[in-house]
Amino acid sequence: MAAVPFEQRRRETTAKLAALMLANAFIFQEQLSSLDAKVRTIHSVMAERDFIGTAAAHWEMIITELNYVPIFKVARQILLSLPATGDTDKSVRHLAQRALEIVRKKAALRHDLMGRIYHLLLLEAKFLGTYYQFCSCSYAATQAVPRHRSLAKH
Amino acid sequence: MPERHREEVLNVVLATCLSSRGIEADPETILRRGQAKPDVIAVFRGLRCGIEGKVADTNQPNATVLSDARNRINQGVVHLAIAVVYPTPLRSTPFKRLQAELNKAVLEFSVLTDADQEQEWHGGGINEIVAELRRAYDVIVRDDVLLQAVNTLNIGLAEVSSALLGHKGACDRLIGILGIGNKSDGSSSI
Repeated sequence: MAAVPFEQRRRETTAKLAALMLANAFIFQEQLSSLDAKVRTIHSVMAERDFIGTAAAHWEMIITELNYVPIFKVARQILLSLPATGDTDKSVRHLAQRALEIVRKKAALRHDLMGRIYHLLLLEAKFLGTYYQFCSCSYAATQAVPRHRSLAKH
Repeated sequence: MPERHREEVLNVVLATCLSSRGIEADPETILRRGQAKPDVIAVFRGLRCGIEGKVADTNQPNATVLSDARNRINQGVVHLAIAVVYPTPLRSTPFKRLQAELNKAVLEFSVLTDADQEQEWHGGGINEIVAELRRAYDVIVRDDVLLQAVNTLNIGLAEVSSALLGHKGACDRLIGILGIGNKSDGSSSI
């Protein structure tokens, strides 16, 4: 079987990863909306005619007024890079709808969902060199860094 | 004056009864959260199991315990929870006879997990609760919740990525944004 050309594989991976990051941002937005009145629900954004433009503007507000930059900055850039076609708009709306379904199943959100999906769906960690890090490991790493620096001073 | 047991007492005795059925269900922890009533949490095969009980003489006991049990799961305090409504006579049963009476009693109960969205009420004794706990445990270990979530998202992700793949320019822009690979690195293993 002929190997898939490099550029094609790279585009496929990019498209999947971009979709995953959008889903993550939608899920996060919906969760935030229950904690902060400034954050709109996905339903209210979906009611807008220009769904993608409204979501991008809203994520900009979240970045500037609330933070959560690592999630929403890249996701917003992805939204702004999407082609203005009916297909894209429809598919992103469907993705937001799926994100809502995930949020309804609150239990799913406690299973380090995105990390597991990252590995289950993308299967490209080797290519990207971006192995998903469990939250607990990341936390341990952040705790280790200052100690390392203090040791380096001596 | 006859004894009147609080629900927590009955919950602890229930955990003891479960433990005596040969399963690892020790009343491990009583967590106190501010002014709220303490949780009785047993450990069942390594999973934390909350016990939420009300006596039948209270106002809307079924709805209350179900809601409390669901909240414990949603808060991540426990993996599974037993919502139980105790028969009214147990409230005033002398403590030394309480375990024996609870072992014989027919209780209304529901076992809740992460995965179950609909709750079913059952009637039965401790043995029936143990059987339901085992069923719930099997549901949890199959990791159904995650699988359902993956299936839910998978379709949405595929739809977006296939819409994007029709637009080479958009994909190339995203490659730049996400910093995926090096364009000159055509010989890399993919």
